[in-house]
Amino acid sequence: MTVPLFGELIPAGFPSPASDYEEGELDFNTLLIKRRAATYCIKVSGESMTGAGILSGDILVVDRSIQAADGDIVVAALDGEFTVKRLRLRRGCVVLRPENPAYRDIVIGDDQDFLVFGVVTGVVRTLRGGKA
Amino acid sequence: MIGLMDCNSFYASCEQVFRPDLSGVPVVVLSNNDGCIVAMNAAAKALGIRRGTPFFQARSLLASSHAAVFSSNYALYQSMSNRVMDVVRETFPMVEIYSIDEAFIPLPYAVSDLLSLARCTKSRVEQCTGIPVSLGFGRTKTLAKIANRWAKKRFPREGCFVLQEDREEVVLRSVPVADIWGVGTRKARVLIAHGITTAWDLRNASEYWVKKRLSLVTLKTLWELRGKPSIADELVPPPRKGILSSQSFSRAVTESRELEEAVASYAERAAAKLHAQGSTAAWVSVFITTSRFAGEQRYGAGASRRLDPPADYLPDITNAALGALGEIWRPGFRYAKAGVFLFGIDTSESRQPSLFTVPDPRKAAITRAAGLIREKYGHRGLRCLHAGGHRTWSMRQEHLSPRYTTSWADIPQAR
Repeated sequence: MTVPLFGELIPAGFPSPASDYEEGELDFNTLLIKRRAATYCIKVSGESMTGAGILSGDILVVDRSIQAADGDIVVAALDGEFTVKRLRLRRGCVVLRPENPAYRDIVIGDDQDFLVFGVVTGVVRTLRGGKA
Repeated sequence: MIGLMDCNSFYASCEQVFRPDLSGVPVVVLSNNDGCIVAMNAAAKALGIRRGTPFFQARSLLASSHAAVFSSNYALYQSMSNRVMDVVRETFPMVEIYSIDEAFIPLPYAVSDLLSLARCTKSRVEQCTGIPVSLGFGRTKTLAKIANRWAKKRFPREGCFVLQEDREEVVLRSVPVADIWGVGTRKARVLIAHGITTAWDLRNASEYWVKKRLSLVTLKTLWELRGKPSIADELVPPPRKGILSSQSFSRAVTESRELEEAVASYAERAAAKLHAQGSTAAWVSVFITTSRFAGEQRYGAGASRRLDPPADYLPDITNAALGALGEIWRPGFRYAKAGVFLFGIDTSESRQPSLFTVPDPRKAAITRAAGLIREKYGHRGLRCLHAGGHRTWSMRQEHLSPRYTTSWADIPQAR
């Protein structure tokens, strides 16, 4: 048997007038994840996207179900490595643009191994006492 | 119509999703203890490597072709499997999971353009998970299996095939009996000896002869080939009749303390499975055995203990297992493997209360609390003292990849 934690079973005192209105608490999963089966977490290493508010050590929420479009921040596999950049599609040209003046645009050449892994839909950063 | 979806080179594909540097590189995955090759990608197949090859035999070939070698990373494979099945379920809500990388898709309704729906599902799964899959549809499960193989062989790019009734003869004529689902090598030999060499031959064989000479199972296969569904749908897997947890050690074990540690941790794993299906066990059986190789002195033994009343309480199960181990352990042998088997399984609904013993309510409370602690701190978060040693005997996994999707410490990195 499970015992309800609220309301009616308190032997003395008044039942809560709000117990009929009880709702589930806020759950960050519902905020960050749209399609669980297609969502992956990837850790940022490096400063190339600081201008977009993405810092080294941040955890990216990456959704593979979304078709990447011009202007999206994406995680891409480029020459065997994952990289996070803003995707620019111009005149048949694919450019990965860092959001940091110290870095240069990467224009994808025909001879390069390039694949969009997924679209970044969120950034998670813990401060004091965070697990990740 | 019913479909069969399966993942291509599943374990190897899982490893490659998070390793873009491995595109075009031969990839193999090893069995428990890194013993044999259990999965490989197309590039590894092209090297002539076969499933089941002992790792040490293929080692130099793999090294010279710069292949990537992985230990089995079950946490990763199960996570990716769940994702694949979830995406399939978006299109086909009734998915009957058959194994970690296969699922039957019953279609109780007519679908007008099944082939495009299959193609769409395939590309959706690949986009969302990175795992390539194949889909085959037929009038029965056995025909769906054949359609799936056909898709892989004849349409490797498209990876989808719908076997319509009027195409069955053409397809079945080119399927050797040994390749039919449920026909093993032994049965295939009998069939071939009697001139039944293709699936089409078996379909047209005499029902009487098949049942008499082979078995009811083969007769069901024959009916399935004729388009009559004869293999039951199993959306809910039947509760297990017995639960086995066993493993070969990574090295020979001689100390009784180490054997106890192994048996206690197998008992823990078996009890977790028992608990997950909400059952109790009436018997705990333990076996230990020395290596079959190397001309060492051989010894193997088993013993059982009764749990009265039947229990799912881990300390009871562990104590029974260690008691049974005490009966059979002999010094002076080099043990290679041990296992714990729970049987006399009773599911909660059918469980009979005992007349003479009152269950101790504290045990249920402890089991519940332990479950909550493990949910929060992981499987290793709470263990029986006996199981918590250094585990130097435990599975050899020298090539284990990170748990990319199930452990925060292991998630992939991007620059």
